[in-house]
Amino acid sequence: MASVTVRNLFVSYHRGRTVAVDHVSFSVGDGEFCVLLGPSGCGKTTILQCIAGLIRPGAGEIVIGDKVVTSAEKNIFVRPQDRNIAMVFQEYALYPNLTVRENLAFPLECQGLPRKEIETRVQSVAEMLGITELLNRRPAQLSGGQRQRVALGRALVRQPTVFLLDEPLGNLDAQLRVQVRYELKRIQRQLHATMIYVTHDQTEALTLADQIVLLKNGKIEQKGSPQELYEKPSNLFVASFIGSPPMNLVEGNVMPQEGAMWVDAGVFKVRVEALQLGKSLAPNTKVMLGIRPADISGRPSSPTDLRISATVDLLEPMGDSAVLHALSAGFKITAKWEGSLLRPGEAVTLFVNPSKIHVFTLPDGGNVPKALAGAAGLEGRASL
Amino acid sequence: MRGLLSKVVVLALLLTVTALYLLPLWGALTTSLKTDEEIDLTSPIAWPQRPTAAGYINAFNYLKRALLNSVLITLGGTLGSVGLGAICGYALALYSFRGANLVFLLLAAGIFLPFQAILIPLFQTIRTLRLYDTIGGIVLAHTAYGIPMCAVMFKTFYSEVPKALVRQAVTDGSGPWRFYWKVVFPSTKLATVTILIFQFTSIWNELLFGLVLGGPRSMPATVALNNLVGTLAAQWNIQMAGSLLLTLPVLIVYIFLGRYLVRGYMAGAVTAV
Repeated sequence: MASVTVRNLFVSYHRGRTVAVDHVSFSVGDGEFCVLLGPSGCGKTTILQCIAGLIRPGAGEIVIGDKVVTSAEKNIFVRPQDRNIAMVFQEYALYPNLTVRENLAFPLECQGLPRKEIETRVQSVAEMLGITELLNRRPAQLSGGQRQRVALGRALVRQPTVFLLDEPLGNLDAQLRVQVRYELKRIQRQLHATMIYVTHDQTEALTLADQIVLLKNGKIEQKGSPQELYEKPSNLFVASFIGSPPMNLVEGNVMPQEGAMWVDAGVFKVRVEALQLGKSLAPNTKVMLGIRPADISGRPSSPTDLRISATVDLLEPMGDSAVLHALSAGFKITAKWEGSLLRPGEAVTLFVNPSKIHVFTLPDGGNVPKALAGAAGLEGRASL
Repeated sequence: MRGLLSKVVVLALLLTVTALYLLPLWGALTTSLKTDEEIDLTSPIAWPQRPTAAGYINAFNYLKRALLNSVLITLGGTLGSVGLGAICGYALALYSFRGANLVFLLLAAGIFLPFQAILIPLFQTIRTLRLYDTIGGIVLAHTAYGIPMCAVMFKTFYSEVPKALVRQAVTDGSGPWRFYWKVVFPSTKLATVTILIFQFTSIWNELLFGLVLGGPRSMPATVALNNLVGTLAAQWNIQMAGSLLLTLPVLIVYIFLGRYLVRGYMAGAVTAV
């Protein structure tokens, strides 16, 4: 396996009028599972195709292992077939006229391996994926999940240095997606494989990735571990993109009152000190406050918790827990609910630990970082 | 009741048109089986009193050299134009390269080039190549002239091959040739059969190239049959038998492979993607 480094990658279409990838840099360590995440049109697939060698970028450099495979500046371009990468597409892209066995053997035949070796490798991959009994079938005779497994097998059989996966679970139904996701992660661990995985599904990203590179409009918004992106989103976009159900966002104004600084969000008021920020907020600054649904609870976790009185709009049961949609002074609040069953119209009191509230400055949406060691015991006060 | 009546009327109309259409063929069949004397005495569409194969034997003896020429010309021309057209269509449909649009435009223009417009330069070219009155010369002409039509038809069929398959093949380390022979060609047999039939029929029935580029040694059966008119003016039975002999291969191809032709024209070319 090998590491992958992307430096200053730039791709544009229509003679520079549409910028698909805008000076993106990141690196993926040996054996790391990296997810390129973002809404459609953010350039994630283009980056993957640049790594694969299917697209020549306008600028930038790509290094696989210790070999420069693409460099616009040094005019280096290694052909896709010479990069020792394997790619899995969302559409499976199985050769329709070949059997599963022939599909798996195809890349090895291209490498000119001896027949014996091809057979051994195909057999062992088929066993690893549990598709031995499908070897003589054609793609048309397989279900979606089986096809995806064969596509994965065709990548595995090559024993490449890097796996590139372009929304490989996109065409599977929900149940199968969870199952194949698990298998993929297991195989990746087992082989200590370097994988770069493209998806727009943040759940997939959070569950699979060692590192997430979150993109928007061809630019990196944030890169880091799933935990980092979830707990320390660098801006409003990251905060609202990561997490399901999405973060509650409410606008507030910073104002001095009773000798202290407060953020008045309408629904509630909170002392700036209680937010435990790493820097102070100037009076009359406009901010966006973000609260994760999981950080809202029906019971207080400490006496300093904010109290929000709300009316139940809808409770969506999810089996072991529920998603609560409630209204408070016209503000829609979403919370992960583990308490008793609630009826629409019922009054409910919600509690939020103010230190868990994310603060973003407006209009740029940048995150105001938290203080490293939180000062405890500062109270907040709900206005309702 | 009205429905039945209109059905009967439509059927009668169709039968009449079919009969009119088939009448010359019927006349050719009856005449080909008659003796010279009977031809002079009876109606052309009357069934012969004593059918004889003499017309066919004479026609075959007269045409056998030309029929062999036709077979060679048709095989060569068909394989040449379909083979090269397939490669052109494959490249145009699945690979992007500089000038692809221009190449396609020129090929499409080639389809609409009338035979007559190129006859004289073609004749001069073939003569300069010392290929006048050779099978090779006529095959070359048919191949060149057939490539545009074949390429455009193949391009249409091959465009249905998903682009993801091409990308997959590239990352799998397959070159365009391997991908073509292992995947594209076997998945689009219907397209190939359709275009083969199309070219076979066109070249087998073609007269003008054979007339201009062929001589006594290389003339195809269409030209030889045409020559019968002048040389054996009165022997209708031989001419009719010759005509039917010439129609036979095309007819056989249509009977056995016609369903592919219809399916190829109507439906997608890629099976089971």
